Amino acid sequence: MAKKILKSKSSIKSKILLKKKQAPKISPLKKILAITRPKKKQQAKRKPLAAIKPQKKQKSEPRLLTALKPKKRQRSIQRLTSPTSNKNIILAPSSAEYIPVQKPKLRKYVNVEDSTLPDLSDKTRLKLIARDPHWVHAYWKVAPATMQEAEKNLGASFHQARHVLRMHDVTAIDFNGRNANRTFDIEVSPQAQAWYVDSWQDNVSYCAQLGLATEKGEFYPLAESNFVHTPRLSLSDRGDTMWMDVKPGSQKLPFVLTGKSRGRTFLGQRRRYLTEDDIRAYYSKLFPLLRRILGKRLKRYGKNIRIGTIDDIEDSEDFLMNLSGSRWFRKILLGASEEMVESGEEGARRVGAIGASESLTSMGGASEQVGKKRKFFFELGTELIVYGRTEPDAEVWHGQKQIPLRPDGTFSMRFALPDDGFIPLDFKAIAHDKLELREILTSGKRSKTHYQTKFL
Amino acid sequence: MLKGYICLLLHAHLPFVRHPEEENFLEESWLYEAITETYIPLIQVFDGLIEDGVDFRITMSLTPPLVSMLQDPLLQNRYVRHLNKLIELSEKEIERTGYDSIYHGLALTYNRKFLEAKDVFLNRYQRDLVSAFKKFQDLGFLEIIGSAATHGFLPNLQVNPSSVNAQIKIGVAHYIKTFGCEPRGFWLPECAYYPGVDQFLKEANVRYFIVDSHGILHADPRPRYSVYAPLYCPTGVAAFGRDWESSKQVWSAKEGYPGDADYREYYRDIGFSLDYDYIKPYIHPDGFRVNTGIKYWRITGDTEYKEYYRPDLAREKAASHAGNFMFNREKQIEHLAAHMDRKPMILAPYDAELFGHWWYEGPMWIDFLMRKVAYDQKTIKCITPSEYLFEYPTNQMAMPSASTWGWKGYNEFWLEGSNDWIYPHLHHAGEQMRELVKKFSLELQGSSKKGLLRRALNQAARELVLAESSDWPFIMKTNTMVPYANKRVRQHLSRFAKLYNDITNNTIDEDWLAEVEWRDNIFADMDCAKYYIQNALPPQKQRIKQKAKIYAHTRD
Repeated sequence: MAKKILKSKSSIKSKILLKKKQAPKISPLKKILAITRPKKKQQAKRKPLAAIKPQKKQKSEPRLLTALKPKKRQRSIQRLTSPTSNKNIILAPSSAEYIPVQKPKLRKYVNVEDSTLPDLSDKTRLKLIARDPHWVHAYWKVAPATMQEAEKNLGASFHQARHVLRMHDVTAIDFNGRNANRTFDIEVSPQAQAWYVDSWQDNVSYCAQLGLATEKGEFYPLAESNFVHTPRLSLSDRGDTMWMDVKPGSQKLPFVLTGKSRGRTFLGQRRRYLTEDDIRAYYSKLFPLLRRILGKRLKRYGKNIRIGTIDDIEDSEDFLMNLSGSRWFRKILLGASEEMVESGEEGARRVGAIGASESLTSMGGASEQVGKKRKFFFELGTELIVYGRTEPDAEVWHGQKQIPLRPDGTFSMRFALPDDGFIPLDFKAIAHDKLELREILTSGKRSKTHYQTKFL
Repeated sequence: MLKGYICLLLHAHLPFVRHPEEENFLEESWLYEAITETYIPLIQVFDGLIEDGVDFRITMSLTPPLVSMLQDPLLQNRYVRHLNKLIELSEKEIERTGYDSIYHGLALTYNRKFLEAKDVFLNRYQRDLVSAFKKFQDLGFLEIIGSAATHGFLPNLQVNPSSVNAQIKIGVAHYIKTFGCEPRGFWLPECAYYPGVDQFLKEANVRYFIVDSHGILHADPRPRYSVYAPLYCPTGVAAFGRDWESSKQVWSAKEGYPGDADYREYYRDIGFSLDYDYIKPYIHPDGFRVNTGIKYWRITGDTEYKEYYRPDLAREKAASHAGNFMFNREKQIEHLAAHMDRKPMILAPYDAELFGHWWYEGPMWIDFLMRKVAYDQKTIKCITPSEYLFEYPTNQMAMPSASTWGWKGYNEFWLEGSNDWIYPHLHHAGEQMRELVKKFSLELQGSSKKGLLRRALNQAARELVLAESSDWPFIMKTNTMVPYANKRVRQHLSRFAKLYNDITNNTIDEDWLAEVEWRDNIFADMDCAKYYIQNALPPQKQRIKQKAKIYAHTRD
């Protein structure tokens, strides 16, 4: 191609080529000039050339030649001898420090300084973010259309209805909208758009509904949230040791070791590989996200494990969210077996109910309120220890949760009281023969923090 | 006898601050200060170690925003201008302190330091400091790990898995483009892990990431070796936990090394203490005083009165602190090794900017430490996480707990009253981005980058990731430079919203787009939007090369 163009000398490219070829022959000064000459000028020169059509080729050739005429050369010499150009050439090191950055050619002035935040009010939404083991952040927005619809449906009771954030503890269950472990309501003001919800337990899954509670006790949902899981705040109470072998490019399933070990090494122990089912069963109770991913995989590919794409997951979530009525939260059902892997001579080991941190250690439930400008703050952490004693073979329950007893029948729990929180502490003990039940009801409360400025 | 390993990890990150529209932008000096005080001194240390044949290992994360800024010609030019000014100031200082034996010596030291920095920057590495780090990695002394696209705080973004995915995949793709191989490890911004994030890392072929101590300790089931050996997530990605003892020794402002009385005081700068007329040309052009980087005083103690800085004393202190650190690690390893069936590894991650910028003698300390570990004892050795995984491919499997290395150990620093307003917007924009990409997925296929729509889509993705950076909520919480962080988040979100509207209404304003592309030019040559669409994997061709490298790095 290039050769052809050269031969015909008809296109603009060939002219530029020609120019480049001839330049060194004529004068080395010309070359220097070409370097010192600002880029813009070159382009300005090229542009009119580009406009010339092939027919005018003969006219343009002389123009090229004029560039080499003595007149121009003189000018170039003049330039070189003038003080400013001298500076440019001689002070090479300083010019090397500054490599011109290519600027967009002839940029129009465009105003891009706008920093108004987009308006989010046209869509109803409710989202949860887990902040730490004890706090979940919820934010929401109710679109006017949703409100109008609610008004239409609720009729007269709409105006008396309270705005309520209903939190569902959905730890380890396949939530269908009714079977939450625990549900509690927080009354929020109609103007509020965000809330920090305190949860007295770590390692718990939540989802929420924002709705209107009428005087009759009906709940009209306006928005449903995503699922979150709060982090664990203590050591896990599961001590099973599973192993995995991963090398670049190859990954095997995890395994447990069976048989007697010699000393501290693996020698003499057999590997028993776990199936994907085992791991699923092991973790499905804890992590909704993982449960979802694994469930998805299994659903699609059976035991031939393949990873579903994110889109699948998101889409299915979108789909699930849009379902109406009591089915709106229906998740993929997982048959989580309670059986865990046997580990060698220890015999069959059963991993029972998920122990959601019986040994609560406190991070200091009080939220920090550091004054922004003034250097003043006041922190108060409150913790509550509940302890008791019963027959060693009895069962003690706190709400839905069974409390493990020490061998002598004593037990204790530690709670971090959240700021402005109320904890009902209802305990019941059931005798081993299930013939007798005793209940002790108490509660813990921490009253509000009062902020007062300029009180003197 | 070799009993265990220590892994020093430096996390280098700065938010993407680049303002071509303004000649002197105050926040850009974060980068210039970090280059002079941290990155160049570290490069000098590494070069020195290699020259002397010291076998050392350091792991480092260089985040995409930092790499982009270090490779940006505009900022490189501005850095040279900044450095020239500093040299000029230091020359004036030499003159000014001519009759003062103490300060004159210090002025000379600073002058030499700046000239050396200029030499390293211009002559040795031709402005491209990233190439220096790449060189150390290629030589096998440094292991550079990847990080998220713009240091997005992933737990708070997990409402939209596609946003987390894009943060990780863009980060990995940028790493491959920069360093020519896949990242073996990944630095989760702020060490913020949540169960599930490892899935995306797995897809990006990352072998390990770092979590804070309690991420490992609270793993389920319980970790057998605490933080002294990695855990595999059920996905097969390894999690290394941070060791708290070694962290405290260096991090802690009170008990830590950097607070020693002999070290240089950071908060006494001549930019604030000298005559206004004298210092005026070297502070901000608008006339307010800023740090110049020339500081003549040492910490002295908890007093207003400060003694002058003695480089010789500080150097001695750095050496003895390095010795102390090593001795403590030896004892720690000896103790741990007795309880483990494998060699324990102590992972000590720090912010890279701590060394040199805040702790002036930090790079020197690293230098001493690496030399001492190599020659003065036989109990511990330096290692990188991938080398450890090569030696011990079989590890315990458990699910680490959600955690961060921030204040109180969870997400509170990035999610509280001062900064929680950004999340509804970030999540909303994340949803919109996915919607756009779904709608125009055909536009994103093929290799033509010219189409206006495609340019707009990619720019929208860039604006979104820039808004997601964890630095903005961090700044809002620390209550310094808040207006700037607010402005950045609002501006990126507003630009994103305009792009979204323009794309959906088919009214893309090319001039406006060109202007925004020119300003927010991070990942300018990458197709960012496609990472929102599917499991877009980074290019695979480097994989074999990468494998060969891992083997090459492992010692006998």
